This record gives sequence, C-alpha cells and structure tokens, in this order.
Amino acid sequence: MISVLQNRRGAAIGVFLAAIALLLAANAVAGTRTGHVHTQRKVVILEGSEAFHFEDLPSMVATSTAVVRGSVVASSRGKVIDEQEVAYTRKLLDIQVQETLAGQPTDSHAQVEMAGWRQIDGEAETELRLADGLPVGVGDQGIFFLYDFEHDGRYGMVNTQGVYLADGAEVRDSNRTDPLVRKLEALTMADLNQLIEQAKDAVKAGDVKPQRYPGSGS
Amino acid sequence: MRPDHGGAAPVGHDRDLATVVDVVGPPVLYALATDLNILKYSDGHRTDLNNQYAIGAMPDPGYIGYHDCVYWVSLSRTRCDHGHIRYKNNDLANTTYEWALACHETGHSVGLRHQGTLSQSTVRCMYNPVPSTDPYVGTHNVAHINGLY
Repeated sequence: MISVLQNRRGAAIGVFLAAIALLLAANAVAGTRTGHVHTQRKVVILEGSEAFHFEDLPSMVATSTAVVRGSVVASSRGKVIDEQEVAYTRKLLDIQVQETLAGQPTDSHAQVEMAGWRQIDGEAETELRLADGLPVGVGDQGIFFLYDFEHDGRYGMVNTQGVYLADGAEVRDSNRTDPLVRKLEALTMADLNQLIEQAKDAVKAGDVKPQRYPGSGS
Repeated sequence: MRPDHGGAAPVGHDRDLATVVDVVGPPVLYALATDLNILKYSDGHRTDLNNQYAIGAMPDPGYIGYHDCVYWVSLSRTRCDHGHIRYKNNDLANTTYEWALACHETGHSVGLRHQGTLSQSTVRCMYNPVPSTDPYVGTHNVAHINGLY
C-alpha cells in the first residue's frame, strides 16, 4: 500500500515538474521580456507596400526587366539590412535560366534577392516572408518575373505576383489570394508561357505600357 | 523634410485614433506615425511607432515601405506594442501618393491588412499591397481601429 502511495506521489511530482518545464519552455519560445511579447515564431510575415501591383499579365510582362523560365540551383545569404534592434538578411537565389521569355536578355544564371530572415537583438533568426508571398528554394522550377531594383547585378521579383512554380505540367497552386495570381495558377505552364508570348507582342506593338517606379526612387 | 501639418491641432495621447483620422485625415495620420507612444488601447497598453525615413534597402527589394511589429502586447499578436515603420525614400513630400503610403503603413501598424477583396471605397489606402493616390483610411478600417483600441 505504502509502495502504491509512494508511486502515486512520485507520479504527481513528475507531472508537476513536467508542467513547470513546459511553462518555462513556452516562456522561452515566446521570448517575454520587459512586459511585452516577442514576435519570435518560425515564420514572420512582413506587411508592407510593394513598388508594383498588376491587374493583368501584360502589364506585369511590360514592367518586368526580364521574364525567365528556370530552376533555382542554389540559395545563400544576401544583403544584410541592419535597423536598430532588427537585422534583416535577404535570401540570394541562383536561378539557372533555361529561357528568357520577355524583357531584356539575361545571363545563364540570374542572381535574385528576396526576403529571407529576421533577427531581433541578436537572438535566433526567424524566416521572413512577405504577405501573400510565395517561398522559393533550391529545386524549384518555374517562371520568374524579375526587376532590376537596385542596379547592382541582382534582381528582385517584380512583386509577390511575380513567381509561378511548376508542378509537373501545371502551375503549382499556392495559397496566395491575389486575383491575378489565382487566375494564372489555374493554367498549365505551357498556357502561361503562351500568354506571356502574346503579352510580349502587345508590349512590342506599344499596346501595353510598363508601370513607372513610384516616388523619387530608382 | 516633414510636410506641413496644415495647422492641425496636436493629437492628445488618449484621443480616439479613428475619430481623429476620420475628422482631420492625412496630416494627423502622419503625426500619429511620427510620434511615439501615441496610440493607447482601452486597457492601458500603448503602441509605440518608430518611423525611419532614411534612404536604404528594404528587407525585400520590391518593397517601398513596411511595418514590422517587434514586440506584441500579447501572444494573440493582434495588437502591436512596439514596431517600426520604414520607407525606402527619405522624404514624405506632401503628395497624395506619399500620404497614401504613410496611410498604408500606419494602417498596418494598427492592425490593418491588405483588403483587396473588399470594396475599395470602404478600405481606401489599404485596398492593395501598393498604395494608390488615396491617402485616407476607409469606413471599414475606422471601425476596425476603433474596435482594436
């Protein structure tokens, strides 16, 4: 009997200690400090304003510096933007270009930067994504709408609407909500290719104009 | 260069944000975005906003402005305690486009998201992820801000 009670007491102490450990772990994950809650999560979504937004494909083709079909063959760390207690590191993609579909000719490899990671006060880095953006990594194949934002040999995606990954012969269905993205992700890769070709002709004919970069920037 | 606030009265820390925005529009919205400790929740918490106008790279090269909440009031992450608003260009000239950008980023800082599925007339500067030339928050957003604060 005593042995049973001791076992129960031991189990209760074990449960209590486990609960304490869980609470401590939860607090560490939350990163609570000075009365407010850290944004530490596996993925942080950044809300903001993009330079461009498109209602239709021809306008996106006209505005992009280059539209390429290719594969992501490498991914590394890009520029670091250090802002007070927050440091952002861009992801640098090496895209092997199979074909330039529209815009200016590109090299056989295009270097493309996009949102990558965020670090607060030197703590562990968190993956950073743009709102309604599509994460891209090594092995992804697709069509990329690139823009020369910073004139340093590295492109950016023209905006969050400017990435379409292949899922076999289809355009991969992501969870992006933008109406133009929804429309284009319902296509096959071949159909998307063909629409880009038609848009390119419309741009050449002067029927579609590129959007102007906003404000006084580049 | 900071734009002329048009003689708008200083905003008291405890005033109702949405009412203020609704009445006086972009100049005061700009003031809200540039001052610290200006937004107060009904339970006493405040939202600190740190604005930066320096020319510089964005976390993603396609961005021209963003709001990033560094600390939240609670784990529900609906109310920002301390965050940064940052613009790519170093000035907010008194143009409707740049007012619209300030409106958009300030909207993010007080819990608004892109709302392209709603009527543009009710969400105005938050309609798309790119600012329009509409520098005002819409009625839907005013109600949301009042609900949050």
